[in-house]
Amino acid sequence: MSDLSNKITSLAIDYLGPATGRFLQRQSSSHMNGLVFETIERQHLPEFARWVHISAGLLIGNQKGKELADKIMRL
Amino acid sequence: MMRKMMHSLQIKLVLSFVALIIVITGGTFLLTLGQTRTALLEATRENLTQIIGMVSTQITPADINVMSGFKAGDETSDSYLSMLKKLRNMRALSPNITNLYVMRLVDEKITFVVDDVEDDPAAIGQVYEEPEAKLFDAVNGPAVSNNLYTDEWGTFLSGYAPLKDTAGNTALIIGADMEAAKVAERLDFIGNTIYIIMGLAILLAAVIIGIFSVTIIRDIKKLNKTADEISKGNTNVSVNVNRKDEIGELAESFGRMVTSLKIMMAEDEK
Repeated sequence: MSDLSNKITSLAIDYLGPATGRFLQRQSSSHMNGLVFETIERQHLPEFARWVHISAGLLIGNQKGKELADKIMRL
Repeated sequence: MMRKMMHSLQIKLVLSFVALIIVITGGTFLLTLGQTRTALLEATRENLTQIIGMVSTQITPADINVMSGFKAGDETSDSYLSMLKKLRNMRALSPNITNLYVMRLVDEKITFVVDDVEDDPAAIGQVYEEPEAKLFDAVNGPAVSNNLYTDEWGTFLSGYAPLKDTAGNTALIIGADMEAAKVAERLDFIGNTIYIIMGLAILLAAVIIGIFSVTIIRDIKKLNKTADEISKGNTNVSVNVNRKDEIGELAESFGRMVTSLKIMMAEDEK
């Protein structure tokens, strides 16, 4: 697991709980041409954060989804 | 219904807080009322000492000389009526005083010289049966009853002061009575005031506790309802509790669990 994917997981776990790993894996593989989340790099962050905003927003509300996406973008 | 109510956290919280307030205020009441009553009685005694001290200075040596000469049957004499009028005028200046009277100490017996009571006054030479011990202290200086004292005329708090002749000897003793009802009125005022303050404090505390517990219980009920919905298979729920305290933290953790459950259930469906 890369340092960046670790940091994203640490951030997201406060919002999404124990299924965070599954969620993040799903976003990268489904929306970013099968990208393995553990290999994510900085250049992927804008697109990844956009999908986190959309998908997490459906689960935890748009405001919190945006908050999480903004935090990921600042990494 | 009643059984469910008795197990309600809100009822338990309100009842326990109200019980706590009653115990605290009740204890404070019992402690302060006794102390306050003692202090008030002491203040009344001091007030009576000042009054009797002041009254005794208004009786001149000439008056004392005249009164010392009174004997049984002089009640209709001009000099007696003049002294009686003087006492009544002085009493009129002190609304808290019910009676003013002058006595003589002869052979360890107290006899009346002038009594300003309008209904059934003591006659000149009438022996004061069973006077309180404090009265004898007045030979040396102003003295006031330690507590309410009951005699054939009623229950009073009394003050006494010596009336000295030109040679400086105690020729007569002047007494002033404050009616028990007036003293009790002052004591009751304090008691009633404390009761009112206590009642208001309990009422205010109950309202504050009621509001406080209602908001806590409301949010716990929301969490309970969400858990209930999820346990029945409905994951389309959200935890809508916005608090910064421990309940808020619980709601936040609970929300994360709900979100994870939704993620996992969505994965399973796919």
